Amino acid sequence: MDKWMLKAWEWLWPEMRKILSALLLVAIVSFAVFLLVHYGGVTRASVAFLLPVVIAAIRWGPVAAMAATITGVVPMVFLLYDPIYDLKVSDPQQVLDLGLYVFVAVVVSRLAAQLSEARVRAEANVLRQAVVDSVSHELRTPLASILGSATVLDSAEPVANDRRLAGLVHGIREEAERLDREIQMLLDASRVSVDRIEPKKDLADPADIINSAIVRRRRHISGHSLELEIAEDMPFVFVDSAMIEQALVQIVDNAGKYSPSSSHIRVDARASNNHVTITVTDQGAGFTAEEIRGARERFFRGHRHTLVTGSGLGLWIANAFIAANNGVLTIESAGPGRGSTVIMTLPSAKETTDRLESANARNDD
Amino acid sequence: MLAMTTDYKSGERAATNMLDILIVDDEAQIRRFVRAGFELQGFAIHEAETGAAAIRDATLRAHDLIILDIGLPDIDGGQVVERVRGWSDVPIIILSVRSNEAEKVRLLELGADDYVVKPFGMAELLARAKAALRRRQRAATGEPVVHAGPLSIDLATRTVSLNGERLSLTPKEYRLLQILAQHAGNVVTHQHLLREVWGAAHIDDPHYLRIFVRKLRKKIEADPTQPKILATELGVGYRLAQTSPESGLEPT
Repeated sequence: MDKWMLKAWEWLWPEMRKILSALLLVAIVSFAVFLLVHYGGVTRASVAFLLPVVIAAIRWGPVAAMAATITGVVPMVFLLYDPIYDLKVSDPQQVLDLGLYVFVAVVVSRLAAQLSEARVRAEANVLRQAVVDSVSHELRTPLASILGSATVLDSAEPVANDRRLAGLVHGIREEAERLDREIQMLLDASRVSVDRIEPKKDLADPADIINSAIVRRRRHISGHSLELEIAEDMPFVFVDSAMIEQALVQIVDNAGKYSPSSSHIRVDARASNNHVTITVTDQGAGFTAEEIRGARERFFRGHRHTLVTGSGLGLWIANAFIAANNGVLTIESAGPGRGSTVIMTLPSAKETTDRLESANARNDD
Repeated sequence: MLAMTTDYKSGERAATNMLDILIVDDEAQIRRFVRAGFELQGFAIHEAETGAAAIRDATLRAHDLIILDIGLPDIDGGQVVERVRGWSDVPIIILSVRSNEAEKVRLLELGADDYVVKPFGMAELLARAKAALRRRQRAATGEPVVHAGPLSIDLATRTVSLNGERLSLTPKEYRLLQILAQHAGNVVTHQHLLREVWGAAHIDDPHYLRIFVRKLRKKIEADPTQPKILATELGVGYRLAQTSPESGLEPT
């Protein structure tokens, strides 16, 4: 019995303490108002009773705010409403006043509660990010040693001269690189899921972004034949280049993963009115209409791909990164087994580019 | 490689012509494979575990190159670069993590010569290191011509030729190539190029540079949309492809 009560008390006490604090605050404000009324001749101070409501809402939550609202009514009527020092409310003006007070108190306390909730959520996000950062550091440091060591062995003569050993070392390297890609994917996914992707936008040459992404993945998709065509003199785009590069890397990885080795992957970039489109075409598994609808969702994996490992995060991340930069990701496919075309469309900064170009032509030397 | 082992510093280096590299990283395994990789190429290696030890070591011995991890437990990598730059122009290559372009730029501006991103392959680190060493060697021997694939830049006569044919460049175009050539194989930041070519007033206008590079690529690249000579380091700067006469362009 005692134990049960203790538990109930443990559960009640924190709430009680908040409510008591709110009541104490009301008492303090009431006393201050009393002094003003009694010695200062003040008659209109009902707004003062909103003060404990706001403070209670921010610091102790909605229940305490409600307690402050209700208890605030009594001293308000007692001290401020004619005739003072009694609890009668007769004048319609007073009724209206009271009603407004309660309404404002409720609205303010709701807003304040939302504010403090947002703060708690932001703190949770910061915490989550810290955990993800530290985990990725802990995973990546040993990975860097494994990968680096494999590349040293790779070039060492005894290994290079023995095909079996060379194959093993090559395998270590491939697998370590795969782990690195997966960790990067997790990091990107956590960035997307804290729903605050903050792109650092700047003017960028789309060709630079594409070349950078391809250089990063050239080794990885070396089993495929890659065809790269970038139109000359494309207008610049106003994006976070690192983010768009990462989105393109995900799309290219996806193309490599779901298409047979030695098939073609084509990356094509061109400008149309007000847009730059980057298209990645493969000759792989393709999409069904239903898969296209789901592919931009988190953890989506086509049911057909039981033999290919994957987390189903790639296109979801790409889609989120592109959307954060005011772009659109579209997927097209002639059907299962008939390849897919993933299109990234970004708004171009054509006018700015033209202006810079003419300024440059003028200023050159 | 052959040129590298020739003795370009008199005095204390005379006894041995092995180049001496200091690797600074708090992870023993990283130091171990970097040591192995460089020793296989005939370099001598020294190790330091902390920034303080690195600074101490660098004052005691004239290293030919420093490889510096910027996530050291004791002091900020930038501080190590600054301190070493206080008395020495030894090439410094940074080991950094991905997606931290601002940090890379900060350290490069403080005086580091190049960076590689962890995890990295030994070939990449060696290429960066050799480029930095070659630059010092060029400064010492006064070799005026820098090759980047089909492009050669003669810093003495201020002429640039592509496949043996002389190119006509504007003064600013030459100036840009000149700076990149002086750092051939190593990255040069946007800020550095803007400051040197356009002056300090334009240091915050990287767009100038992007348009300018695009025009320049049309003059020197076989396919200006897929540059092989003047490469972009996204968010950091540009790099003139490393070249060695026998092997042509090396991967960047």
